[in-house]
Amino acid sequence: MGQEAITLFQLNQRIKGIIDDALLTSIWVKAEIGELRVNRNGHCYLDLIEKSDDTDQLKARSRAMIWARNFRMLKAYFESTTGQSLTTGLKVLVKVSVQFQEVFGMSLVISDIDPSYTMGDLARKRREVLLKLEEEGVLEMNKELQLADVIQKIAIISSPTAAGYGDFVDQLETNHWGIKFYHHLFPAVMQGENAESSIAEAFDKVFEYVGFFDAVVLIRGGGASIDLLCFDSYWVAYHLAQFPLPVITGIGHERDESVADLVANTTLKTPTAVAAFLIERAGAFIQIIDEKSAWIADIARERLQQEKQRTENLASAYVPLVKMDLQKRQARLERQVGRLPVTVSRRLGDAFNKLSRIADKSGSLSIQIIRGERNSLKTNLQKVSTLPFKRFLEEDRKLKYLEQTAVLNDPVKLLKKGYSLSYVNGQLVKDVSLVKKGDQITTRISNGEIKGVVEMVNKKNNNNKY
Amino acid sequence: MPKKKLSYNEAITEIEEILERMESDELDVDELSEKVKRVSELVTYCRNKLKTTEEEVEKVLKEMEE
Repeated sequence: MGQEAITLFQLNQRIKGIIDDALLTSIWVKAEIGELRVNRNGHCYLDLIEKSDDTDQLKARSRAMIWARNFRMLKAYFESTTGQSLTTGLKVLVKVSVQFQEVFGMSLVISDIDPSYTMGDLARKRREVLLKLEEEGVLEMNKELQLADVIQKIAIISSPTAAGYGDFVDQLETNHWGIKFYHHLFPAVMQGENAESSIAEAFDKVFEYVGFFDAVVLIRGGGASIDLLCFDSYWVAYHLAQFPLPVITGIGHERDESVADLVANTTLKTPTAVAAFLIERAGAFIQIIDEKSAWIADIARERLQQEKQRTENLASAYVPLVKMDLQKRQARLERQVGRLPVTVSRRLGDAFNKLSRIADKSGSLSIQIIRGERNSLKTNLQKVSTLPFKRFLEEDRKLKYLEQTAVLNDPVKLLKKGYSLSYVNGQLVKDVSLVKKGDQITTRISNGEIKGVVEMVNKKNNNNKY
Repeated sequence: MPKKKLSYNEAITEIEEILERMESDELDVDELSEKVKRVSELVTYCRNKLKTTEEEVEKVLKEMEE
């Protein structure tokens, strides 16, 4: 076997010579970062890959590296320009020189990077994702949800170890309003290849308690890395947009908003800003209810004051009215009182006149009566003065008469004149009714008696005394 | 007192309704004190709900840990 052979080193030397001769230096290359790691010395080693557009099949792959000195500078430049850390999955435009080393083989040494290419690529991807979400009609869904007045029960999707999460919780728990926030962490990986599915899973877990929470807070863990690729991912955005609770993002980035930010209900820059927002919203609620209740109290006081005023006005209007009325009445009364003497004196005059008329009348009447009485007294006096004489005369006459009749009635004389006396049963007959037929009757005359029997009695009808 | 499950939104809505009615002079004086009392109840309720821990809620959170 006398075939001619070279050593591997010789071969590699030859390749190195060819490559060096080809002057493959300072070539701008478009590639995707497949893998990236930084070693202890600060040198950056990465895989650059290219995939087929339609099938996602790997088409090319090369090792690349950035010297530590260069890497520090490029990294800062790239990140400050794109707002995105240099990481797996990014498409980059890099200036490379092809180097071949006998021991390490071929490597692309990156000397420069054009961040605008990456930005353009990210923007294009984002536009595509957004367009897709819009076509599916989910883009605005989370934005349309009404944020609660007080977001008190909070589901947090974050990396549990992240400083941003710890700060967020601290901020909520030490808020100056003294508001009690309830929060629960649904842990997720927020960067790297697994970030998308991890965030989607976390949303699924929150969904189990969807009735309990007021909102979901999606905060990025913070730290040095600013790998935001997952927040531009279609699947994360798809979950987020359609989530039945409002999602508040605090992903923390300086440049364009991520897709997650665009579809979220409320977008804030950092976890700190989210905490401040939640605290201020609840605080604002307290202020609003305090203001409104104070307002209500003011209105109530004002209304009561108005009512009081109205009552007072009524009263003050009423008092003059009453006064006026009283004055009217008083005036009327005074007029009446003023007329009183006239009326009284007239009445008195009338009465006096009437009285004096009566008095006059009674005066003349009494005079008349007195006169009458006086007259009758006079006549009576005359009568009285004459009466005794008359009596005396009368008595005298009577006496004289009696003397005469006494003489005349002397029975002896009378008997002599022819008068007689009749006796029945020894009794002088003065009443004919005491005499009956058959009685023995004795008649006495002046010179003797006649005896006989009564044959008949005739009684005279009129009883004349004499 | 307001019923237990009254939300902040319901509380503020009720307060706003009362305010609106008061501003438009719809309430007569007799209703005033009643409504002012109701508002004060609502405010107290909201403040308590905001600032004190509800055991019921804490319980649900604990269940999530398990």
